[in-house]
Amino acid sequence: MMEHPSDALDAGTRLRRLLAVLTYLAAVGESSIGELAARFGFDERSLVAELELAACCGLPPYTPDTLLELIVDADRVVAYGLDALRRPARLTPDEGFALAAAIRAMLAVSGPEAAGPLATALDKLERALGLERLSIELDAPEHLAELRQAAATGEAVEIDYLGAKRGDETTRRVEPYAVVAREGRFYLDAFCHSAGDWRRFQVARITAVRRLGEPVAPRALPAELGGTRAFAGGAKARTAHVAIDQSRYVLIDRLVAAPPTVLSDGRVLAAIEVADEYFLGCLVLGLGPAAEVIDPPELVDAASRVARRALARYEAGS
Amino acid sequence: MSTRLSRLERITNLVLALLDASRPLSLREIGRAVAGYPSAPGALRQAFERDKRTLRDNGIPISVERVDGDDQVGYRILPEQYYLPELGLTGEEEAALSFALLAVRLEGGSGRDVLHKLSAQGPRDVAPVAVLPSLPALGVLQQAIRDRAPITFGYHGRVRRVDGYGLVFRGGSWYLVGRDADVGEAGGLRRFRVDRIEDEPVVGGPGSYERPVGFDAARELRYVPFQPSASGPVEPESTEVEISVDARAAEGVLALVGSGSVAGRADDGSVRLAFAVGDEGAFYSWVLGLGDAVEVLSPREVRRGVIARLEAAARAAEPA
Repeated sequence: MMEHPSDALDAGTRLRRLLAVLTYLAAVGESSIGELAARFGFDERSLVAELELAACCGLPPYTPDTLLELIVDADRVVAYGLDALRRPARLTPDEGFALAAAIRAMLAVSGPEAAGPLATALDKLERALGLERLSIELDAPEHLAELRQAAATGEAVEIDYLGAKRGDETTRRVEPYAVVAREGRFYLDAFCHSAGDWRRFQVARITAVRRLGEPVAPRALPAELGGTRAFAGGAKARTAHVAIDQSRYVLIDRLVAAPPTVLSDGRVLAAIEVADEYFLGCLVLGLGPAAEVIDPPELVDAASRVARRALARYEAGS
Repeated sequence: MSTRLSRLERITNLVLALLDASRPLSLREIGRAVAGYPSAPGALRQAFERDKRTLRDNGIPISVERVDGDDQVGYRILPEQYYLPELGLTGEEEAALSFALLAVRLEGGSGRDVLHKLSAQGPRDVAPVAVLPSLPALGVLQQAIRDRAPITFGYHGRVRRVDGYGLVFRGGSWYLVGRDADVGEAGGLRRFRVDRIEDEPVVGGPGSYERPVGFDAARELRYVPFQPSASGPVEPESTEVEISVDARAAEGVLALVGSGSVAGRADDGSVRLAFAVGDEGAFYSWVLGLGDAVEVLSPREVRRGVIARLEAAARAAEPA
C-alpha cells in the first residue's frame, strides 16, 4: 500500500483526497482510523492530521454549529451531517481517462462475451459522464485463459515454449504467478524449474499447457515483478544504433525509446533496445538495404545472419 | 478567528462556501467571509486567483457570473457542475468496475482516485491483469476529442495543430489519430505517438470541428502496407500469394492478415495462408522482417524475389 506523507503533496491533491475521505465518511458515518488510512492510502498519522484540520473547516461564521462535524479520537472518527459532501465530485480529466482505460483494457482482456456487467457499466458511464471512447488492443493468445486459471488457483503446469529462433523449443515445468498484459502483449510471470529462477514468458509463444495438478510452493517474489520491463525472457537488453532512411523511420518509430538524431548523410540514427540478436536482424532485414546496424560491433552482421538462416530454409524447401 | 490558516484549510473552506452559496459571491464577500484570506485587496485577489486555479486543476469548476454592485463579477460552484451525476450502477456493475480499476494498473494514472469516487468498496489485493502506461497528456487529449477542441503541440520538432478523432492503444503505445490542419485536406489524417508529444498540449475552443460520422480510429490506425486498398484512388493490381508461417510467428501474422486467409494448418502449429498483395515492395519488407519464421510458397516470381533479397543481405556481411 502506498503512503504519502501529506507535506510532500500539493494543496490541490490533498484537497481532492480529503474530499474523497469526507464523502466516504458522510456515507458510512464512522470508521476506524486504520481502515480509513488503508482505504485511501494514508499513513495513520497524516490521516489524523488531515481530519483534525478538516474539523476546523466549515461555513462562515465558523461557529461550532457551522463547522464540519468530525470527532477524531485515538482510533476512530465519527462524522455527522456533512450533507454538502454526501456525493462525490465529478471526475477530473485524468480520472475520466483512468476509468475509461481500465474498463476498455479489462474488456480487451476478458472478451466481449465475458464482459456482462462491465459492459453495461461502461455504457452508463459513457452516457452520464460523456467519456470519449478509447480503443485498447491487446493480443489474445490461445492459452491465455488456461494460464490465467493456473495462476489464480496456484497450480503448477508444464509448458512447451518456443524461443525466438527456430529450433529453440523447450518444455518447462513452471509455477505461474500472474498473467499480465504489458506494452500490449501478454506475459506469464512464473518460477521456472528448468531455469531455477523467475522467468517472464510471452504467452503467444507457449504452444501447449499441461496441468500438473500440484499446488505451487510459496516463494518470495522478486522485486522486479512489479516493473514493466523486468527480465524479459531472462536475456540482457542492449542498445543498438540503427541508421535508416528518414522516409522509413515511421516503420520503427514504435520501437525507439528516444527521439532519433539526424546523420550527416541525411539518414536518421535510432537507438533500439534489443534483447536478442535475431529480433534485431529481422528488423533490419525488413527495413531493406538502406538500413544498417552501426553499433555495437557484434550486432553489425545481425541482418545477414538472419538472411542466411532464412535462405537455408528456402534451400531445404526447393 | 485567525487568518493564519494552512492553504488546504483555506481552499476547503472556499469549496464549502462556494458550494453553499445560493447566489454568486463577490471577491470582497469571499475575503470577508471565508476563513483564511488576507485582508489587503491586492493580496486577497492574488490568493483567490491562485486558489481558483488550484480548484479548476483538480476538476472543481468555479462559475463566474455577473453581479450588480462595485465588484461586477461573482463566483460560486454550481451543484450540477460539482457533483458526480447519478450513475445508476447496479451492485454487480459496481463490483465489476472496482475489479477493473484494481486489476488494470495504469502506471502514473489516477485509477485509485476514481475508485474512491465511484465505489464504496475498499482496496483489495488483486493480481494485475494488464499494465498500461499512462501519460499526463492522455486525460487532456481525451477531453479535447470529446469537446471537438483542436489541440496544438510540438512533435518531432514541429508545431502541429490537430483535430483529434480518437485515442488508440496498440502494440504498447498510445496513439492520437486526427487531422493535421497544416497538411492539406486530402492527406491530413495522421497518427501521433502520445509519448512523443514534446510539450503540454494546448487545447483550443470546443466545437471547432466535426469528426466524420462512424470514424473508427482503430481501423484507421491499422496498417497493412501490402494489402490492396479498397479506398485507394486507383484499383490496384494485386498478386495472390501463399506463405507458410511457423507457430512462433503465426499469431501475429494472423492478427494482421485475418484468419480468413488460412489455407491449412500443420501438426507443428505452422499455418499456411493465402491472400492478395497489392504492394509487392511492402510485402517483401514484411516477409524479410519475419526472418526464418516464414516461407513464401507461391507464386514462383515472388518466392524468387525473396530469395534474391535474402542473398543480397547475406552477402553484405561477407568480406569483399
